[in-house]
Formats: sequence, structure tokens, C-alpha cells
Amino acid sequence: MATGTGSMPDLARFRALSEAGARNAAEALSQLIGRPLNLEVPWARAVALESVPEIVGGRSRHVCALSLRVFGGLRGNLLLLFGAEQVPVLLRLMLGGASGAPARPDEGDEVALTDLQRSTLQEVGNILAAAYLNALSDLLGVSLLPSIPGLAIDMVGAVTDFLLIEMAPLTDTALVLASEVHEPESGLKGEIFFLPDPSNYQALAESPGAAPVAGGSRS
Amino acid sequence: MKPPSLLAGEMKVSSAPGQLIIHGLGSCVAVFLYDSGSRVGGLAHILLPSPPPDATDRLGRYAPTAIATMIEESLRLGAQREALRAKVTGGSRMFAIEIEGERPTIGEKNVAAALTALKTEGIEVIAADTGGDRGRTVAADLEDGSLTISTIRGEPQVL
Repeated sequence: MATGTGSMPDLARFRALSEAGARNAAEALSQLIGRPLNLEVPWARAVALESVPEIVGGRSRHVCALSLRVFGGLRGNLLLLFGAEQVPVLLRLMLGGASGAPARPDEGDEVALTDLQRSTLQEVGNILAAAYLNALSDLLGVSLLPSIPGLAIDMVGAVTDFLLIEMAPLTDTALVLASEVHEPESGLKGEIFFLPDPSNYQALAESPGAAPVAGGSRS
Repeated sequence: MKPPSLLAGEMKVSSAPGQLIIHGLGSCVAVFLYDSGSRVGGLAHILLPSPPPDATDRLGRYAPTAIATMIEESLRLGAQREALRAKVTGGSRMFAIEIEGERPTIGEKNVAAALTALKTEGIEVIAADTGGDRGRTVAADLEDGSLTISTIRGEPQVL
């Protein structure tokens, strides 16, 4: 029995949320690195729980993941991903000449980073999350607070496992709001995934702020 | 050719030759059962320590039901119950910062549930590599019963 799918709301209503959040996050990142960013077409999908790692690039994809728990009027998990190979690009954009070499370049994961590099990545997570959630907060009229970001450089399967574990008792289908920001010159690409808690699906669907066009009645 | 990864909650039982693989195992736990005589084995990618009270489907998600189902399937394919041995891996804590103070972690609960279920079934655990903060890619070889574990750093480890 597919629990939860019965209350899975109309997805068109969530694209507006996904887009508004991502636009704000892109603007924040753009100010941080001093370059304009492109926003790729945001989407919202209901996917089988087991397929979440697949839509995030496949279980074995090597990524830098920043994971934040979202508290307040709407609970959920925010996952910010950069390809692992993008970490030096991001650090250079953030720190300029001071970005430096990894402390232990052979390790290939977050253990390889200096304290400065690690806290810089977490700061990127903080700022993107705050910008993303501010936009959602405005549209939905609820307050949203992110936790401190957890950082892991590892495989997609490993960094998304806990999401599946959390949701499996409540639903077989996950609602995923996704978007992508892109800096053309450096090739920097960041992906933002927001997975509301299954217990919030219904309330989210009924929220006036989630309408596809603000103030409009198009369906 | 390498087979596709088992998804979370998926289990597969087969006989040699062949491999059963899970890519990017994090807080989930993997249980490999193998009978070296018949060269029949099964791998489960377990999500949760225990099933809801009335679970009749998605049995691969939960430690006790996944292990019981794998045993049944293995016997059907010719394994001897008393010859089955287990290897267990996974149960990492991927984001240290988020769950500080939360003990046991979900990974530890999954590992403990798998070990308890194996004990209940009377199956000996002959090797284990659990916990830590790394993701693991796990390849179970049905030819020789080896379990190869790779992370994104360092050399693969063979259990």
C-alpha cells in the first residue's frame, strides 16, 4: 500500500515555490562571488522514495553535500549539492587567492579540507539556505529556520540515505522541489533540493502561497 | 558486466556466478548471506530496524523481515540453512554535526537490529565493518562469498 500518495498535492502549485526559493538563493550566491548566476528551470516532482538518489544524480555520484534540517511552520530537509570536482572552483570564487590547496589533497573528501575551507563551504550552505527559505517563508506566510549545515563529501547514495530512512515510515512517495544555479564563466553549478516532511504535504497544498501564479486563478 | 545497484529497501538472492552490488551505502545497513557449498547468496539494503506491525510488503526495508525473506529465498535456490553465514556492513553517520548528542544514531540502530535478527535466525556473523562517517560501495561476489567494500578514499577492503 502506498501510504501518503493519497494526500500528495498538485505539483504545479509547488513550482512557484521552487522557483522563488532558487531565485533568491541564486541572487545571494551571486552577491557572494560577485558574478551573475543563471537559474535553470526549477521543478517539483513526486517520486518513489527509493528513486530519490537517482534524481539527485545516481547513488554513486561523488558530491559535496550540505544538509540542513528546516524547522518552523513547514518542516523538511534542504540538501545543497555541488559536484565534488567543483569544490576547488567554489572555494576559489569564495576565497580568491586565499583559497589555498587542500590540507590533505589525497583524501578526496571533507577530511582533506582545511578548517577555513570547511567553514567556507558551510557558510555557503547557511547563506543559500537562508535565502531559499526566506522566499518560501514570504510566499507561505510561515517562519522557517534552518539548522547548522552538515557537510559531507561522499557518494549521493550515502548522503541521501538518512532522508529515505526518515520518510519511509510515513510515505512511499517523496515530494521533491529542485532547482539548479549555474555560473557560466567558471562552470560552477549548484543544485538545491527541498524535501518537505510528509506530514506537511496536505497543509502545503492548501496554502494559498503555493498557488502557481501569485494572486492568479490559473490552474 | 556489473549489475545495477540495489535500491534502498531492495534485496536480491542468486546463485554463482555473479555479483550483488550497493552503491553509496550510508546509514542503511547491508546484510550478505552466503552458503559456500551451494554458492547461493543474498544481499539486502536495509533501511529501518523494524517493520510496522502489519507489514506484508516492502519486506526488504526492515532488518528482521529482509533477513527472514532472504533465508527463505536462499533455501529455495538450494542453500543449506545451517551452512549460511552472514557479513554485515554500513550504518555510518554521514553528517556528524546534525545528530550530535543523538545516540544511538540511526546507523547504529540499523546495525544492532540486523545483528539481533541474525542471532534470532541462528546465523553466524563471520565479518562486519560498520559505523564510521564514510559512504560505502559494497560488492558481494557469489563465486567465493567475498564482500568488497570501497569508500571514496583509500584502498578497497575485502571481508
